[in-house]
Amino acid sequence: MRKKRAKRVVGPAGGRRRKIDPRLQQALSRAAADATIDAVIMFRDQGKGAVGTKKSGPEKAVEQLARTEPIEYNFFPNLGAVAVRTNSRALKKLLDLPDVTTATVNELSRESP
Amino acid sequence: MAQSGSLSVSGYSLVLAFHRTDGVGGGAAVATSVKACFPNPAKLFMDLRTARATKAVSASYVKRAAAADAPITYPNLGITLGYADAGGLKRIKSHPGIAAAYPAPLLQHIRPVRVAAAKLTQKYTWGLKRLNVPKLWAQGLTGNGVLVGHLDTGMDGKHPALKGRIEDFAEWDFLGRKKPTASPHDSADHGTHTAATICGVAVKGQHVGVAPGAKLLSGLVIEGGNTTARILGGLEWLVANDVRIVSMSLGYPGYEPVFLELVKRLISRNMLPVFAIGNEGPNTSRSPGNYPGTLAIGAVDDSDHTAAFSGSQHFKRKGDPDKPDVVAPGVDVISAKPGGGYQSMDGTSMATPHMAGAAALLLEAKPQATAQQLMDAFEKSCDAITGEPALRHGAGLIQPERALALL
Repeated sequence: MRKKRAKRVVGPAGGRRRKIDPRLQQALSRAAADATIDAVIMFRDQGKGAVGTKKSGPEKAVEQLARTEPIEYNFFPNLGAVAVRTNSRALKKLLDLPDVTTATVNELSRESP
Repeated sequence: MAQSGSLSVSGYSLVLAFHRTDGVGGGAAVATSVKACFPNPAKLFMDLRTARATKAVSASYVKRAAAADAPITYPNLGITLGYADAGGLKRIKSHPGIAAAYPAPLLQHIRPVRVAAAKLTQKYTWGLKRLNVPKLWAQGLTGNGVLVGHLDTGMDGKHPALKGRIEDFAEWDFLGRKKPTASPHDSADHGTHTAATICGVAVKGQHVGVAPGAKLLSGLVIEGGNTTARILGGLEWLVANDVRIVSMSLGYPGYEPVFLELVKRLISRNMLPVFAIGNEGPNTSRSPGNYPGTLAIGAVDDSDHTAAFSGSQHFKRKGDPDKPDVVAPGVDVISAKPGGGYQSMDGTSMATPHMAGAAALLLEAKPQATAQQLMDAFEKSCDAITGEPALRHGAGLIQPERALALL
């Protein structure tokens, strides 16, 4: 059976529309400001060709935010995505960065054997 | 509220229970009483097994579930996570400390519907013969020089059939960072089986692998939670290494768009995404196999019938509405077992590596072929399957030799 997962559209911030996984929205709305949330954020595709020694705009933006917020992150330059472990306050700032296209939870679940 | 394909299809699902945040939902006592609303996993799976009289939930799985699948509470997030059936979900929702509860998607390897001990008794497995793979070998095509991405439960690097087949092996942490040291191993037995079907070499003259000249970049991605980042780490690694084929016998039950954007990017980077469609039968499928633009693989038996468990589904969308795209051998597939020897498994997970191996053979011959050209060639050269709706098997049973002629 096809599952329809309606995605929320956040903002018209900057005239852009970004899709946030409802599970992440729920975690954000329910978690205390300092509660840790694991998330994955995708940015507008810069293309694999854009990858090199130079950091992309999104990567620089995440790096800059991590200087002032407790953000543990790993950027995937070839995919244009970042995995983060941070609090809900900082995550909201990350989601408001330019070029964010989608975001989802970094799966809480354990894998069954 | 989102509905899990797993609850409606399998009768149970992983359930996320959100505790109330006004003080009523917190504390150890509440966590304990919420957990008590979840059915005992062993009983849950045993009841289902008895009621459905199916082999889909094996006895060994039921035993392991008792130890591993008990609900757990994440106090920082105010969430309890565990398996429940419809009755359990109702109980959880009515708990005074719970604000909301619903089935959650779970990314997992697509469990085989049957696992059995097996011995190789013939030179070639039936799948190799049915796909006429030895004919391509006779032309000198073994997948030599082709790297295949294999994201699964890992693999037993010491198995004789996988000797020399590993270009690299990796694992990732919760943020998708590659661990500095990782030695090939299998956290279950699934990955060893699928890896050897892709590129296992002959042992004592007996073959299980489609492309024994190809090499694997094999990643263990579905162990330890935080699977989204681990999968991203694996795919990033494959893209960085210019891998042209990714074989993933894993997926979320139902349509789960978490990886949709990501898969689009893989395709734009000319990577052939070979994904299993799932084992829940007609009118079901798994993501990412059910995304448009992927090569979704169903399972066929040695009589050219689509297996009853093989998923298939029509989607109301303009591009690529019907899944799977093709079928490949996925019933009674004999391949490597961790620790040595072989075992037989049924599942679309077993069909998927046949497809990935076949693509490796073609890429050796035609390295300039694009991912789209490969998909088109395979789909246009299939053996027709008769006596069942086309939706069940897509274009039909792949025939690599004929596909090569179209490139």
